[in-house]
Amino acid sequence: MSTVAASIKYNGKVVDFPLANPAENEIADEVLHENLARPTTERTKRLKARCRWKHAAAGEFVDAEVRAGIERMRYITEAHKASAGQPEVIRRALGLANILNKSTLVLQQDEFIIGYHAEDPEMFPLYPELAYMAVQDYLMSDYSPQPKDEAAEINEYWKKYSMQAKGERYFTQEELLQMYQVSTMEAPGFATGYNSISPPYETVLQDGLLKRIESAKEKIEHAKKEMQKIPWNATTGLDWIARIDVWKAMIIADEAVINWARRHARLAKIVAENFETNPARKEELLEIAEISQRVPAEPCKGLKDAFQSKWYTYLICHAIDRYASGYAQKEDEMLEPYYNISVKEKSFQPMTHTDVVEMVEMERLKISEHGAGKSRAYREIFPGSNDLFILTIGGTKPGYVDACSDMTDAILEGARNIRTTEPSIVFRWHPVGREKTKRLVFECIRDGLGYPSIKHDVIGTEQLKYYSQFSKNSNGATDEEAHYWGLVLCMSPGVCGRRKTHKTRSEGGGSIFPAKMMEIVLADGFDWSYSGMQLGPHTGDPTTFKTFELLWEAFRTQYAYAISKVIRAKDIMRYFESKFLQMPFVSSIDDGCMELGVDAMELSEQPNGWHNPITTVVAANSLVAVKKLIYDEKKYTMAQLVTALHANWHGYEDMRQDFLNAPKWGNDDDYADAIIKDFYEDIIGGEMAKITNYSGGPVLPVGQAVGLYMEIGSRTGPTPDGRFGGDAGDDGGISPYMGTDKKGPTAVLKSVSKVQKNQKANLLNQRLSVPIMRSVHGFNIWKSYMDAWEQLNIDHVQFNCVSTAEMKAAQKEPEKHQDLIVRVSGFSARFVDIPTYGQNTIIARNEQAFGADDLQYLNTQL
Amino acid sequence: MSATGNEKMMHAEPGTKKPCQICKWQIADPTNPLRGQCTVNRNTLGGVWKRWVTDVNGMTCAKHEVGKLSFREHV
Ligand code: SF4
Repeated sequence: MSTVAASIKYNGKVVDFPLANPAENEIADEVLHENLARPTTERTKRLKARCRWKHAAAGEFVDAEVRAGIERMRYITEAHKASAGQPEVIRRALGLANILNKSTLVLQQDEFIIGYHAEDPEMFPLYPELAYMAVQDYLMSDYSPQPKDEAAEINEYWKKYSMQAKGERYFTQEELLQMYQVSTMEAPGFATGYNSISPPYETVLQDGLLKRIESAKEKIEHAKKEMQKIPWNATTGLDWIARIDVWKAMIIADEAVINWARRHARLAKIVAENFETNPARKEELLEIAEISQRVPAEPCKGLKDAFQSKWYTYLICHAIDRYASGYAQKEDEMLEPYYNISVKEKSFQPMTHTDVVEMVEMERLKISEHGAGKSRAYREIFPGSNDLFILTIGGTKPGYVDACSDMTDAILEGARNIRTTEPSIVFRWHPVGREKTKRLVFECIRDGLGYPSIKHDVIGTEQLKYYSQFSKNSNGATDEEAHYWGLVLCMSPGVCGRRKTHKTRSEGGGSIFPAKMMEIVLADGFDWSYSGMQLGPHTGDPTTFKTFELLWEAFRTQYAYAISKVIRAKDIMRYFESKFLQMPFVSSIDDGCMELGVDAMELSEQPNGWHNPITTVVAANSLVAVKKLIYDEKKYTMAQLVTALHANWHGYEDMRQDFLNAPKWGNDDDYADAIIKDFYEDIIGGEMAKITNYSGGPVLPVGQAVGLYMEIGSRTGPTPDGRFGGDAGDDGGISPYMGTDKKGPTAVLKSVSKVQKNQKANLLNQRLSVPIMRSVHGFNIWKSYMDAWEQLNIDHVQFNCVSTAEMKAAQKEPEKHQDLIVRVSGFSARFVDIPTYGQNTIIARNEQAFGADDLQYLNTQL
Repeated sequence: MSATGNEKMMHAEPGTKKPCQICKWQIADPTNPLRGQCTVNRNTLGGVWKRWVTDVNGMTCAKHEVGKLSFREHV
């Protein structure tokens, strides 16, 4: 039997909470999620049943069949050797062309959207040109590419050419060790290969690649004429050399992509004409062949074209030319014109709304099968999922006009019906957003998907306008363009569209860990608990800190040291990317790169700098406890605290209880919140904002924990908030520490709303009561909560809606709970594919019910 | 000062027959596969307090146990 929420007294009457769907009364709490999937068609049901998930956890792949392929590394190496002596940007294009021309194609049963990035759907590619250590880790694993000797030889070949070798030269050995261990700082991209991008899909869908090739050819002709001008002027004339090479590389890359798509078309046709016995599937394969013959070469004519063209573009940008995490796109607005052609006008590829929902489900399953050849660090930090894949919907068009459409609804319906961990969805919340769509958002959340996560539409839009002013070529996002944004990864808005999108991770992303910094501040910058080395500057013996301000400034020094170093590492990577890791295909589909003849790794038009502080709340709660107990009340000395921490609180339990019970973030507590607001605005944001990155703008914090709150917790000793060594950190960016938000959901909102200055984004994780959300009042309560959240000017919120009973049942019998999805932090995961350590952190989060006081504050109409 | 005494126990021993590399409590370093992380320190509530292993082939300790834990038992 399902649990029903207890009645409450509200506004002078008794309010009951019967379930919205009475049939659920018969479903036990322990198995609710196993009863919620309803794939739209038999086809998507079959595709889900045979999906080759590539979930990773604790650095390992959950499914033993998953392994690295060798084809990509083989063909890029072959091309690199053969192209010696040619301009680097041309070599990059030839590398892509060689992979696309020779790679094995994958065409699977039941698929309509086709294309894969490795030779086998159980595989994923590797990138030896990025980080040799990451490939070495694969070679030492159970999922090494085969033949292993060949893979080892390839990795050895790339060692001296790799991004890692290039980047490492500009750091001392000590600095590299500090970064590579991932305890106060994330390792640099040149040592991991981790990356993110927002591909300018729109040019591919709207123009087609043949038109882009024509543009590049015209540019080359124009350049040649300019160079032939009399009298010769070297100060401008020589600039054309590099630009001509960039345009030539674009042509090579685009022609290769067209040929590759058309190889798929031939394959589908051969299978249809020679092997397929089912007449319906045969017809479908011929249609698939026709589509891949047309796109991405030509503009999309209907919605099926758009899904396929987008998928090919995704594979090149995120997996074949180079690895990049994410699934950044403003999907509903991008696809809406094609939805209108196919569904409303029925003038090309006619289909019904339900057919579109099926397409959405099929696309979700393609992502669910997509494997990422990422380094171990990134196989650790998204436990229970393949990678970070996040698309954006909703929000507003210029003038703050609602951007929701029937395409938005189809995306939400598909997500709700098929139930996959990925891709995650972000919904941009604005008061003008239509209620029909908001109800679908609610249904996804209520069903426990953990997405959509919600972003504040106005904050995101205004932020892009703010960054625009720092544009190095005075061509940042216009006010109109600022409305067309999607999240680059899980939290940070970036421009979408034909130009000015985020192209590489030096723009934003990467982490820094205040909890570990708090630990080393109390040990003069030395890490006694994990690595046994000096991790930061000598900031002094904490027992000599006579005032709280001295401790505060010591923290600032550690933080400033770390943040400058990690941004320097990103920008050094960017320098080498622009010289040796050019992206001719990406450049060809960006209007700015095409116009200017500058590679996408070099051109920066819209700055969008950010970095991710993770575990800020552990550090912040620690500062509050220290101020109260040591400096204000003088109940303990700093020496006593240091001694207790080094003993992991053993023998000091009463003292630990005092520190644990000191005021905590998320309870609308004036004492704690005043200190923590300052901490966010003055140090976390204030120090970061002093930095100017490659793009010429400031770097601002995007607090979001992913699975790093677990990893960093396990590498962090005990902290003055009462944590034991090894316990997890805080799971959001501004979320209260698990279990410490004891004053209800609206107190959390009030605390969080106090932090406004010097922030780009901060993740707020909340867990909502399942019986209340599934009751007849669920939508009204949630909607009033969301309206209050919006008015309080809070940037983000996301929800778990899953019972402790169900999570505990899944821990006991994982095989029976394959459809149990939870929100970790910035991504959703299959619960049973998360290590027990991580599962326990989700169970420990407070399940927020809504009392009469909360409803009063929210002015909920029941 | 060491946290639990285990750090004293983890020590360099070139040529050891019981390297961290094959110990069930070890899991690879996030960045450099020649380094690792020891996870033998576990508290009763399920917390895992890791120690850095700077050389997975040349370090060991008395708690060495050959084997491999499942992902569920790691972080
Ligand atoms: S040998 Fe000792 S130090 Fe090394 S991983 Fe095993 S328990 Fe840890």
